[in-house]
Order: sequence, then C-alpha cells, then structure tokens
Amino acid sequence: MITRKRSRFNLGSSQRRQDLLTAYLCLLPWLLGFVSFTAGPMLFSLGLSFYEADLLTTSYFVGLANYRDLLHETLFWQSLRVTFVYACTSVPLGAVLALGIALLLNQRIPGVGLWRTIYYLPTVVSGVAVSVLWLQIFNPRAGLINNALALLGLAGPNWLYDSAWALPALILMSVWGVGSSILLYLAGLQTIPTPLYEAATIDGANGWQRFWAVTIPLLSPTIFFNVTINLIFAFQFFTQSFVMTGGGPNNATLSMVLHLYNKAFVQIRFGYASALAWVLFTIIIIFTLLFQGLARYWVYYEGERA
Amino acid sequence: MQQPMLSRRMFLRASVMVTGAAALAACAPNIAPAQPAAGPAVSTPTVRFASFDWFASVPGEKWDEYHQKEVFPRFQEEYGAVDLRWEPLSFDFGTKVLTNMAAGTAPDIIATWPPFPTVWAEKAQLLDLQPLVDADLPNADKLFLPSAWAQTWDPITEIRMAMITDMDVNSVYYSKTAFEEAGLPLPTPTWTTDDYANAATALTTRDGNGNITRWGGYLRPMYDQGYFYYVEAFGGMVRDAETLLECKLGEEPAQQALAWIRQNMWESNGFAQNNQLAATGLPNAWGDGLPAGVLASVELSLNFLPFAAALPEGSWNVAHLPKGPQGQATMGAPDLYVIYKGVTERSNQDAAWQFLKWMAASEYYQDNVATKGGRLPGLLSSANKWPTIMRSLDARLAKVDLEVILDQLSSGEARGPQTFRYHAQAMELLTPAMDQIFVEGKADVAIIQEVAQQVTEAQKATFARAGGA
Repeated sequence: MITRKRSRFNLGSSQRRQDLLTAYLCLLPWLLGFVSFTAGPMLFSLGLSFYEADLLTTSYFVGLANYRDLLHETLFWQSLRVTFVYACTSVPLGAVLALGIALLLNQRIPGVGLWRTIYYLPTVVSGVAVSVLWLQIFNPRAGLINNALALLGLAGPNWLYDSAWALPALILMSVWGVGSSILLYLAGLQTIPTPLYEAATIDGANGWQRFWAVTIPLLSPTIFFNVTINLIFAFQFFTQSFVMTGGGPNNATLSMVLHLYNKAFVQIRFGYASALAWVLFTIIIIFTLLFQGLARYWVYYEGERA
Repeated sequence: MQQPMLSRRMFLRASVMVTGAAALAACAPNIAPAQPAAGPAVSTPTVRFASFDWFASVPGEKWDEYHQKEVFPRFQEEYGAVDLRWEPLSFDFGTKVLTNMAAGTAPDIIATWPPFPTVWAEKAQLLDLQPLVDADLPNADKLFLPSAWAQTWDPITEIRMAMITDMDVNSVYYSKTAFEEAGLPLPTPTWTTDDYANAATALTTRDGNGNITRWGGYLRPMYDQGYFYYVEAFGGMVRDAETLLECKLGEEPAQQALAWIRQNMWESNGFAQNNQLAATGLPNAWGDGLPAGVLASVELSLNFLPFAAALPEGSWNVAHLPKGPQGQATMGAPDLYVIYKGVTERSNQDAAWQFLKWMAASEYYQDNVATKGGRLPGLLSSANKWPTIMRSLDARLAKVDLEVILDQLSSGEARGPQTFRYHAQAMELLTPAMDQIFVEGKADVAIIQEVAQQVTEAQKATFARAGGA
C-alpha cells in the first residue's frame, strides 16, 4: 500500500515529469483564461468595492462605506427579498417537476426519444427569446394562460402589470428551463441497479415505497448536484426581470443582479455595484456551503459507509 | 511506406511555439503600413462613427447603408481622405458606450439622445464643441432649431455637448373619423386639458359586457417624457431650475397634474392604462393602437409615414398637446451626435469635428435626415423644408397638418425634459411610486409627496458624495 502511494507521488522519473508538464500545459489555456477573465476581475471588483468609483473619473477610497450604505438602502433589501423568494420557490418547484418528468420519461413508452427531445428543447432557446415568448403568454387579455383560465370561468390576474403577481409569474416561467435537470435526473435514474427494485418488490414494497426507499436515496447525489447548481443560478436571475418587467412594477421583480446592473451601468456607481456583487457572492457561497453541510444527512453515495 | 509520426514532444513544442507567437502578436503594437517610398508620408485620419440603423423610418431606406454608400463617399469627395468607419449601435447603447469609455475605446462620434450626453459630460467624457463652434459656426444660434440647440449646452459643466441630428416632438395623433362620429369638435391649437379629457371619455367605447373596445386617448407612457410635461402645463415643476437637485413633484400644481392623469386613467378610463393597452395583444400597442382602432388618439413623436401607410387618407390628423391651466408643454428632445474626448489623444479631432460639423450644418445631410429618415432636421433651413419633403415622400400626408410640429417648436411648447442632476437615481425612486399610481392604480398621487423628499435627499447626498458643497 505504502509502495503504491510512493509511486503515485514520485516525481523522480523523467516520464512522470513529462506527464505533469503535459498536464499543466493542457491546463494552461484554461488557467490563463481563469486568471485573466475570472479571478483577476473578481479581485479588481473586490478592490473597487472599497472605492467611490465610476471608472471614468477619479476614484476615492471610502473603506466600508459602500457596504454600510447598501445595508441602509431600501432597494437592496427589496432586491434581496425578491431574489430569496425567487430562489427558494423556483428551485424546489423546478426540482420536483424535473424529477417527475424524468420518472415519466424513464418508463418504457413509445417514442421516448421524441419526448425527451421535446422536454429538452426549451433549454436551448436563449433567455431573451424565452422572455419575449412569455411576455405574450402572460398577456392579461390575449395571453395563453388567461385565455385558458377564462375557459374554466376564471378571471386571470394582470400578471406582469400587478406587483402581487409579477414575481409569481417569473417563478412560473422558470419551470420552462427544467430540461437540463430532467436530463441529469434521467441519467441518474438509469444508473440505479434494477436488482434493487426487484429485491424491494420481493420484500413486498409497493411503487411508492420503492420510490422513497430505492429511487430517492440512490438519486440523492444527482438531486444534490442539480439543486446546488440551480440555486446558484437562481440567485443570479436577471434576464427575465430585465427584459420582461425592468424590475417593476413597484420593484416587485427587482432581482439583486438587476439592482447591481442598474447601479453600475445606469447610475455609473461601479464601486457600490461591486460591493453589491460581493454581498451576493457571499450569500451564494454561504448557501452552497450550508447546503453542502446538510448533504451528509440526506445524500447517499454508493460505496460510502452509512 | 511508414508515415512520419508526430511525437508528443514535437506536438508540445509546436503548441508552445504557436501559443507564444499568438501571444506576442496580440501584445505587439499596431504597426502602420509602410509608406510608399516616393513622395511625402501622408497619414489618413480614421473616424469611427457609431449610430443606430433604425434612424431611418422611410420605407426601403437603411441608415447604415445610406451612410456607408452615400454619406461617407460624399464627405470624402468634398473634404479629402478620411477613413470613415461605421459602427452599429443597438437600442441599449448606453451600457456599451459607457464600457467603451471606461476602456478608452469609445467611437469618435456617437449618436445618442438625452439624458446620456449630460451624464457623459458630467463624467468628462465629451469633447467641448463650443470653441470649435465659435471658430467655424459663429452664427450657430441662428442656424439650428433654437429649442434643440439650447439642449446641446450643458449648464452644469458649461460645455457644448453635441450637435443636433434631428428633433423629436411629442404630439397628439387622432382619428378624425372617431371625433366626427362622436360629434366632437376636432382639436384646435389651444384646446384645453378639460377638452382633451372630455373628448377621451366620449371617444371611449364599450361592448355589450361593458368591456372597453376603444379608449379615447393614450399618454406617452414614459413618465419623464410624457406625464411630467402635464406637471409643467399645470404650472408645476419636476425639479428646481437652478441646482436640478430638488424634486418639486410633491408641490400643489404637480400634484394636481398627476391627479388629473390618474383620474382620467383610473376613474373615467378615457385614457388607456399601460396594462390595458398591452393586453390588447398588439405587438407594438403604443404605435399600432390608432391604426388598429383600439385608440381614438395617442401621444407619440413623429410617426407620420407609418400612419400614412396604415390609416385611410384623410381619416387622421395631428394636434398640439392640450393647454393646461398654466400653459402648453410637450416633449421636444433632439437626437444628437457627440464627440468622445479620446479624439484629442487619437489625433483625429480635426477630422471628427469636420465630419460632425458637415453632418449637422450641411443642407445635403440635414435634408436627408428628412428624406432618408423621415425625421425633423435640426438645421433650421432644412427643418423649414421638412413638411414639403415629407409630402414628397408620401402624398397622402397632404391632408395632415405637419406644420403643427413646427408650431409646437416655435411657440416654445416643445421643450426638453426636466431632468434631475442625477436623473437615473431620481427615476429609481420615482418610477416604482408612479407604477403604484398609474400602472397598478393602487395608490394615490399623494405618495409622491414623500417620495419627492426622498428624491431630493438622495440627489443632495449624491452631489455631496461627488464632492459638491
């Protein structure tokens, strides 16, 4: 065992050095890109968050003033509330729906390939195009939803023109993009060994019990991955509110990233916007770590001790 | 026969060499092409010109093609070798130009409109054109549309920010047929806000279920370009005239004006609400509402050619905005060309100014603002020809009072918007409050009183943060 470990980390051989060199050279383009276009700008924005800066004229060091100011800004809290509500509702909703559809698509049904394609198709449409499409769907008078509700004798709301309904409308719209999650769940479902289901059936488990005792535990790493990624994306939602509502009405759909964009590119306060970006980054990191910490209680990895 | 194999070592070496060469090439300074051996070295200045394609509203015309195929060669023919380069701008040009400015890569001449030039001027990104105007266009005050020319001067930084491309004027476009069918007198140059409101109510029609099938009117939906002009007509101010920092929308005349709009929008409903018009399902309900018959009148700027094409000849006309208790006011805002300050370092200032001056002050270009764009030229002599040019473009405009637009300008009724010193910041606070009143109808105009105080406080705080006293 010790010998194997030594050989694994032995850099002495010429072949080993060449392998490492090859690996690093292959990594180099990505590393250069990461340093130039991700890590560098991130560090720059961190520095910028301590300045009153417009990037056009002289910048002034203001210490933590930008962070202090945003804590006293009503719109910051409003955008935080909007972002939390969006993330905390759209992610579970999307997860449940995606899992449900994946379970259906995992059945032996005719034309399953076609169904899978149909469900994945919306994912490849650009965010702006989807937003324009949903603008029509949410149209209070001519839209698909309200016309469908009218057939049932129900009067639909004003959706994007009503501050009570605008955010729920965007949340509802978010399920449009569950195609990629469906694909991952489907892949996860197909890795679950059939003998486990057979054994459960022999033990007398019904469909529901098999789902809870076999499917969910074995799919939990996929669920964990999906939810984590979608949570990160949800915290950064921007396109829908930028294109469809501009953050309105009455700031009902003002997401943190839209607020950040307005501060940076409309009001030309890059220092303040950078502080906002770092607060958002911190929130995302905390949530991700929290979620990761909780994972040990419900995520089951095959081969790990229970 | 065995082919020579590319070994991993060779592949890596080649990769490193290619990457290194690419990096060196990317980092290398621009090398000017070698001058011909004979004769003096003459460098041709380059001028980057950024504009929108959609400035052209004449069917079949394309603003970008027209510039590259006609304007650039014509200028080069008259003024010699200048390398003019077209750069397209999108509707959301503000973000792109701002980013370019921060990077020092903004185009030399940029098409824009208020309030962008004042923002860029405050950030010291624009070339002050006043010394150039003084030298080359000493009678500029008499050359251009006065209200448009006045708006090219920034009272805060005291620089001439821009030259005028064209002028946008907001007017009431109405269906003559609808007025006549309702037995209403047609709008006159001095019709009042009461006349307007009464006409809007009378022109609003409903189906058997009480649902509105046509609204009498629709105000220009942008608060600062539409609603705020009624504040002026009612004798109020949006902000103070001196510092541009104090919001006056909480004061009595402004409150009366806003209450008048709200009443007509949410109580009589003679004016369509934004959500009602959007709900019609028309792709561009603001512009298409009149031809589609869902509006009997609509406030918007220069839309003659589309209406001439879409509405029966003689069935529609244009009118002044109504007179309020204290006068008439409407948006008259110019589209502008500015010069980015970077030209001083790029050593192409003379060429950029020469081209800009030619576009703003030559009748060839300014006449074509009307002929190719259907827009009202900023040059006074071309502006006076505008009704004739428009009627030559579409004979159906013979029965439309295009002269109303010139009247709105000469009377002083059409004027620039009352923008705040930090306008985007003010609108960040005002828009949600206005949404509550006018989009949702959930709040009374009185909420603006408190918001106005917040706006003033925020303006003053920003002013102080920027180093103001």
